[in-house]
Amino acid sequence: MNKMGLILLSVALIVLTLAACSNNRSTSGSGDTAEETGLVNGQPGTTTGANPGEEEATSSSGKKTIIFSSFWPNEQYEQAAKAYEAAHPDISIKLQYGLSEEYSDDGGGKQTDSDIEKFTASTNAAMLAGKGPDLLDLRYLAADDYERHHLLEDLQSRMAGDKTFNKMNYFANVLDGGNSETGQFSLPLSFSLSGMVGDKAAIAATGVKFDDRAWTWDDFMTTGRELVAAKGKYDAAVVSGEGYQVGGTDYFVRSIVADNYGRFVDETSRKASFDSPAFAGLLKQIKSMYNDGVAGSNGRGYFINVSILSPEDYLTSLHAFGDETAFYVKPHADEEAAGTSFETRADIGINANSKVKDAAWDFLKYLMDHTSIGLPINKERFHDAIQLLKEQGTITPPSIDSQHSKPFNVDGAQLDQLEGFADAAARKRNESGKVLDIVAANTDAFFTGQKSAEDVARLIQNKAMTVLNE
Amino acid sequence: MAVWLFLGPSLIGFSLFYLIPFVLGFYESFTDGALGGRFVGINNYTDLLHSASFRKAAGNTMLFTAIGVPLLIGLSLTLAVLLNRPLFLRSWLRTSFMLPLVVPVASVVTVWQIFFDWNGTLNAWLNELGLARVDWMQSNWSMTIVVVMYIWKNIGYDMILLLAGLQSIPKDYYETASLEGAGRFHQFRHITLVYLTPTMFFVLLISIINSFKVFRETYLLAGDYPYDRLYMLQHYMNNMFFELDVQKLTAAATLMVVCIVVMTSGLLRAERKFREYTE
Amino acid sequence: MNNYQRLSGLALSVTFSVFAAVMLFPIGLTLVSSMMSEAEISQNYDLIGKMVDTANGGKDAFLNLKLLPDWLTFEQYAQVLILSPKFLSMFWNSAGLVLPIVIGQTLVGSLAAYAFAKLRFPGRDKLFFVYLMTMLMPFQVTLVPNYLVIDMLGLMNRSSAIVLPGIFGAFGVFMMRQFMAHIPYALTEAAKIDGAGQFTIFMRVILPLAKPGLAALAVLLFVDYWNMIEQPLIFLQDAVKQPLSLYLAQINQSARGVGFAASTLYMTPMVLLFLYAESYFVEGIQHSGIKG
Repeated sequence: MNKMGLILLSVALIVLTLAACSNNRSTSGSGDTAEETGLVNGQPGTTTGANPGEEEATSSSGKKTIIFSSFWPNEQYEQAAKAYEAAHPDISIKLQYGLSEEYSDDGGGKQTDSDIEKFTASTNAAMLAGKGPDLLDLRYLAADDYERHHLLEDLQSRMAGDKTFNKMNYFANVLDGGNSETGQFSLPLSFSLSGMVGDKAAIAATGVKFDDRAWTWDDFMTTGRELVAAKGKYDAAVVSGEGYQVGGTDYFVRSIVADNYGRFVDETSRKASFDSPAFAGLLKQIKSMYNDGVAGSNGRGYFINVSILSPEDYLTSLHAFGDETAFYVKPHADEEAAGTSFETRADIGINANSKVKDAAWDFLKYLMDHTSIGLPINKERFHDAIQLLKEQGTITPPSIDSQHSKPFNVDGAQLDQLEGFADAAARKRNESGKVLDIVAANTDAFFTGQKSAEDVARLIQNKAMTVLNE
Repeated sequence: MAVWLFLGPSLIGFSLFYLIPFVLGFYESFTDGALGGRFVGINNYTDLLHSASFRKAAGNTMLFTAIGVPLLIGLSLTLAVLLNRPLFLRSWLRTSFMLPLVVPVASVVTVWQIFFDWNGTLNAWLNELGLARVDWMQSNWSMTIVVVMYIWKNIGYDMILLLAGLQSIPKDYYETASLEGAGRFHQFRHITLVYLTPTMFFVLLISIINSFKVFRETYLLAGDYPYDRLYMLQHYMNNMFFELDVQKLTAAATLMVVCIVVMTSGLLRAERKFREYTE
Repeated sequence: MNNYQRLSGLALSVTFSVFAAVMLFPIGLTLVSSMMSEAEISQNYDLIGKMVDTANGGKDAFLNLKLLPDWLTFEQYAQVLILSPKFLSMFWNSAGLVLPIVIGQTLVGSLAAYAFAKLRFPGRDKLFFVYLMTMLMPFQVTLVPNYLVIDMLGLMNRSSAIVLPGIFGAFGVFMMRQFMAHIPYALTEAAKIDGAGQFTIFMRVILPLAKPGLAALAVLLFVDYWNMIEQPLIFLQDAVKQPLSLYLAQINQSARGVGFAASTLYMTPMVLLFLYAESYFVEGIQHSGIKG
């Protein structure tokens, strides 16, 4: 009787547990239907459960499955996957997303942050457990950390050992952008160019001369002061921010501190010297840019910072900021080589623990040759994109603030110059990183006059040291 | 036999979700990879101890516990002693002291921001007194603020535990002491504190557990890299997780557990000694 | 009672009332602010986390602590409840995660606690110590291995990945053992003499006496798991399965006004549960703390 009772209780307990679980599944039922609608919309599997598992990789009749994950759905990836599957019947590609749809405007910036945090946390945990997707779009993921912990495949040896891979087909400097001392762990499908759009006519009117192909920040400041002194069309040489996002000081802080990073952070001895007078001096110098009018925080200036994301974006930016405009190269740090500054986009890596690495590599090559995202890394695709735009003849820019925008004509000569800028791409812009985030987040107090440069520098030093010593 | 029927369900689940993961983590702290890594002996531990941030985090955690816990217990004891008598609105008061315990952390984060922000109410008051602003969360004040939040949340819990302890002390002990001419303070030291000691051990344990939970508030308020005075072991472990540094993460975890084991077993031993001594 | 005592009692009551008001203030402020309009919220609290240029009156830029709304409005609640279907579904997600955990851990915990408190077996105290240890460990300690185990069991991205570890948490065992330890042996011995088995003793003698302990445990577990952020973050990747705690951490940052209403709704179940079960809760906590 006594034991019977206990057994009964245990059974009841198990039933309860199971009931609880199944109950939960039904609670999230609304979500399942949402996923199904996602499928109807042509998004294959928005499941993010990041476990490929061996049984999946070698399932039904030796068919290999490559799991490819990215933060949000990408049409190009889907098309490429379909085409690749059609050409390779023994491979199936499963796309996996951190978000089931791309962010629209109503999702606040902060909300994105926590979604990113969730995506990185779950992908990290999967990668650390030796699972995770086979192929990863590294956007928002800690690629450096993956690399450091040998979680990504070295693609350098892949490229060297693969005769079908010809480096000459790609923009070489951009391709090498992900190169580090220990190897190369990701390849970009696309890149963007950073620089400025300048009002060519207004600049010519002031008579100020400069060589944007080789200028340093100091050269730029001098030029800026001359432009302001000329009292021409604009009050400021350049406005803070990028594109239409005018204002804030963190744009220049990031750019300039990133270019001077080596002066304040010694990566080998893991020491920061933001509390040095030099850094407070740099902050004051940046502030003087604003005070002297070289940098404005509202309205327009002779220059506008832009990131060129695609050929179309290039023309649209040139068109949007005046009738006679040109693209100018971003100023660089003293010791740096001159050239166009670029950022890699759609960086793809292969999971070092993947069971289908060869197949993933093959698909990665396919992606590099067959996708045309933004400014494509593949020279032929790049050229195609430009040709396509020329044939198209007009561009209708995206509407801003519900104001309807008029289509304009494609300027072939400008487009040809873009290829030149792309060929000259030489400097990888790297403005991410925890220390730079800390710098950008805390300098505002100085620029607004709330705190002294020294106080801000001390605070940055305090936090940067925590990061560096971890 | 019956033991296993009672203990069985718990033991199975407990092993699966807590014990085995911990043992795995312990093993990983001696290897160089997350899974099937090479055995590297105590390398991870030496790396860890070389990390100034880890040392800082450990120091801050100890400092927080060393300040927060005694302060919390002291204050709740004061409250308990004062409340341990018929008092107007007594049950209302008790309820209001305990309510913060059940309020979810995320619910009141904005309120803390309103007070401790650079433009916050506290600075507005300072300004009215003609004083300069203080960046509360970005200075050595930050730990004081977290101590305040910790006390706010836990004082009610500790108070009712101590109140129960107080009520379990027989009244005639005090009466006898009074007759013998012992003063209030003497009574408090030689009766109240002595007979409260068993409760105190429990309160201490619970307060330490709850002191670890304060990380949530801190994280929501100050993010992953707070001012270094506020940078605690959980920040370190959290950041190591996001940097995928399982080696340092598991090594730090193991060291933390060792400290907890030493501390708790010391506490339990002291409790046993005390019980033997009084009985 | 003489005058002096009466006076000091009154003074004490007043002091305490002030202190109680301070304790309740953060909760009250959240409640009051939840009934302000979005415009009023941003007018008063927009400066949080901002640096105002001293050239533009930044010297005197302070946010304004507003204790009473100009207009009493429920628009924030409408916003949360009607316009944001996410909130309600997450509310139920939370309930669907937390209820099984609370019920399960209370049950499993009391069974194990009985063994620890009233039965004798070799290694009992050592095993209990191990339970105690895991309770003291922060979540991050076993995060990665935990991921492996959950993945191995095929629970990833299912609510069981949160619920099962929750059910077997050590706190329930610890608290109930503390509680049961002070139920006098005389009672269990008497039942034994009457011929009752261990299970009968557990059901008929221990459980009824442990009611306050169970209530206290249930409330504490409810609070703890209603609050959890880290576990769902890692183990539930689908946004639709996320509990409310994650949602609130996001909304607080982006839309402050709605945040107050959501916060109030979020804490309401806890507060109501606490007020409803307060006397049990207090008694339960108190008995777990003193040695019988």
